Amino acid sequence: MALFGAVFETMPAARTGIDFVHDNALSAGRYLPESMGPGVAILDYDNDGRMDIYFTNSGACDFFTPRRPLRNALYRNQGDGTFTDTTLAAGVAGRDFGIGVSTCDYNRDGWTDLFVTNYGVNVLYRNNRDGTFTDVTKPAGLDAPGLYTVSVWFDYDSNGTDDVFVGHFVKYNKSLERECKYNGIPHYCYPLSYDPWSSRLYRSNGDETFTDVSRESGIGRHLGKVFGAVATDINDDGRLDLFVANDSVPNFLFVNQGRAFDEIGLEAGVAYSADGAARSGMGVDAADYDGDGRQDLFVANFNRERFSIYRNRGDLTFTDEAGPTGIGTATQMFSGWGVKFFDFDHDGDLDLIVANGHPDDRIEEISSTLKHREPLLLFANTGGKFAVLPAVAKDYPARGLAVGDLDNDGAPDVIVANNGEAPVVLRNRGTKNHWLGLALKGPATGARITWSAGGVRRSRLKTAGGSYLSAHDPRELLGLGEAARLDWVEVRWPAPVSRTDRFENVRGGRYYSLRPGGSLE
Amino acid sequence: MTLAVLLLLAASAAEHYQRASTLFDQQKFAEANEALDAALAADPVHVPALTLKGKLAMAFNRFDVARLAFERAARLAPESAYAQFLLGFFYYVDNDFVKAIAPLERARRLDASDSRATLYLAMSREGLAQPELAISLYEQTIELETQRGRPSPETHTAYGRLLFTLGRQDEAARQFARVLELDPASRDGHYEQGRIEFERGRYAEAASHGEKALEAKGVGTTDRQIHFLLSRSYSKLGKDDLAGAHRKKFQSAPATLRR
Repeated sequence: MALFGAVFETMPAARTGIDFVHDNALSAGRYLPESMGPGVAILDYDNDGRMDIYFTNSGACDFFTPRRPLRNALYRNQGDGTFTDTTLAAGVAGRDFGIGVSTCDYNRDGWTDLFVTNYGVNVLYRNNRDGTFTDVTKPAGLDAPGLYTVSVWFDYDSNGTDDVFVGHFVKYNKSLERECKYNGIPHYCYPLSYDPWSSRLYRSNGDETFTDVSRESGIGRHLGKVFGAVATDINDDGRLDLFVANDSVPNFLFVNQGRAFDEIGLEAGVAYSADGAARSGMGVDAADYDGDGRQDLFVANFNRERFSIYRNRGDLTFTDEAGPTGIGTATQMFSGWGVKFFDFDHDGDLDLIVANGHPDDRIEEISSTLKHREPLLLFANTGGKFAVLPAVAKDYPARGLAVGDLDNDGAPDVIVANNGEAPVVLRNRGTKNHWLGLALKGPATGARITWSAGGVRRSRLKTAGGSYLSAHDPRELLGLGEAARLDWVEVRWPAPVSRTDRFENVRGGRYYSLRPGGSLE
Repeated sequence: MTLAVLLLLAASAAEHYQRASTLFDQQKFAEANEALDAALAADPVHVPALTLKGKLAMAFNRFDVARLAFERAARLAPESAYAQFLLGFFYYVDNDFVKAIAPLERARRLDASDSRATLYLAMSREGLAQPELAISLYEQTIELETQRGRPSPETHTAYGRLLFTLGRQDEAARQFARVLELDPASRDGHYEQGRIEFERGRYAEAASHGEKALEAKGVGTTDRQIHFLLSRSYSKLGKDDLAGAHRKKFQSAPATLRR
């Protein structure tokens, strides 16, 4: 465990060149979407081996007319700690009211594409391989309007092409907005005030178009208020399942049966709190935090609800370990959004980071207990428990969070996207522990990486989605502890590849890329 | 001006307050409120009238009125343990845990034998995510209640729930066992004991406690919560019909939302 205070360094905009400021469209009436964004993605859009950054921003819609043009922002990594705004040249300024972002390679050409969720019509940007993108939303068949939040790209039918789950929040337009006043002053309404709506699953046709399979897959039959989702394999059957966090209605756990999903949230014990209350699920993640080989789940909830850390019992049921792990008490006062299990100090254990912020900017007018700006919580995994380390001194109105290695030093950095403010870029100072980075090429979600370092065997499943409205660096960083080399590493690729590649005595301290059947490059 | 109004005005604040208090006990709230207004018109700094006004306003969900009344009463009577307690109690119920601490601490100092202030301090500390402080205060509350020969199942329930959320199941189970000793028909006690048994994988015992909770009367634990426990317990026991029936009742019951 690294010492508190030495983990992250806040990088000011003057040093990074990232001058993006989120406009949350704040109005006197307090329209719901104002409180939701923004998202952030870490991606390498120009294949130069350096991670670039994309932010979403609000835009014109039925309740908001910007006083000046607003746009999303793409920043190209210059490789010297600075970033250049290439949004307009790249053609990814967005449209409508931007909410979230995900990355994909939907046409399998080896270049990262972008998908932006909106209040309005989502946007699929195809990477033109020359630093520019083309909006292909309509020909791709992804142009259904709504109030969308998370998007997760994963190959649910194991045919080698990524499909996409697009989470929908409440049924919404300006006329459906509610008035929620306290002492005559408008506040954002709690999502319980709005009706749930169905999310969508689009199956890739393999020809750069998609078919809406929401109904036949079972996904669209469940009305929710989706904020977060993560694709993982909860029963280790090789098929990717989907865990979905809902706000004020039960969470969904969709177990993949091949062509369709069964929703088992209630039976699995992840839909409600321990006494049957639907909580305010926002950010999510999945990982094997306790090293038993099974995928556990994490949900960031609203203040007083405590966040959930669901330990997978191996029989399609889960136990919320928020109490024993210390997560419950540490998160009781906060509202959590972006989240990620990651090994910030390369000791081999998965730690956790959560971005927080109360959605009501006027909360302090009605509560002396709660704050609008909340701390970023960094949890060190201490073997069965999590010790909270305040990550930075300042508090933020945080929403999206993405983890990635911005300077390719092997230490995972963090970007927090703030509602109505500039983002925060946190540079990880690193530790003496060793590491190895792995970039899996091709549809890799569901791949299992198993490795041994210093005689200690560890394993990680490559998941998709997670956090809140955001996308992480797609590369996997493996913590080696004191070992400078891997004894061995194995990658078990998901179907339809279904092969295992193994390498021995691999030097750490650098990134490798790997294709199925290929060598470490 | 009618004679009745003249007589009303002529009565003292204390007399109006006494009348209001009687009407309040008789649950004649509208009349009690009128009498309180008369008392405060006659004497705007009548502390008992202010505290009763606050209690009445809370009963009618007029927290804005209650806040003003309790804050004024506590300001006027800084040495009144009761006025301080009520202000702290009000803040606690209003989820304003930070503000609750000072008046509750003061109430405790003014009357060390009154366990209520200590109990609400414990719950406020719990609300502020300070479990170790809360545990110490729960222990003190139980000691005070024991000394006075009035152990309270509610205190043990609240304490047990905290321990349960912290994952300290064995300690929580001891508290819930004590609840059932004090009140064998406690709805809360059976429900919470059932939850413990469920977590321990003793599903038959969980279902048994759940059924007893459902039969018991009480206002804390809801039917919905109990059906949730029973649905899961019977599901684990392979009794799918019972599980399904309770699941249906759970899902059709008004939703609770923990915030």
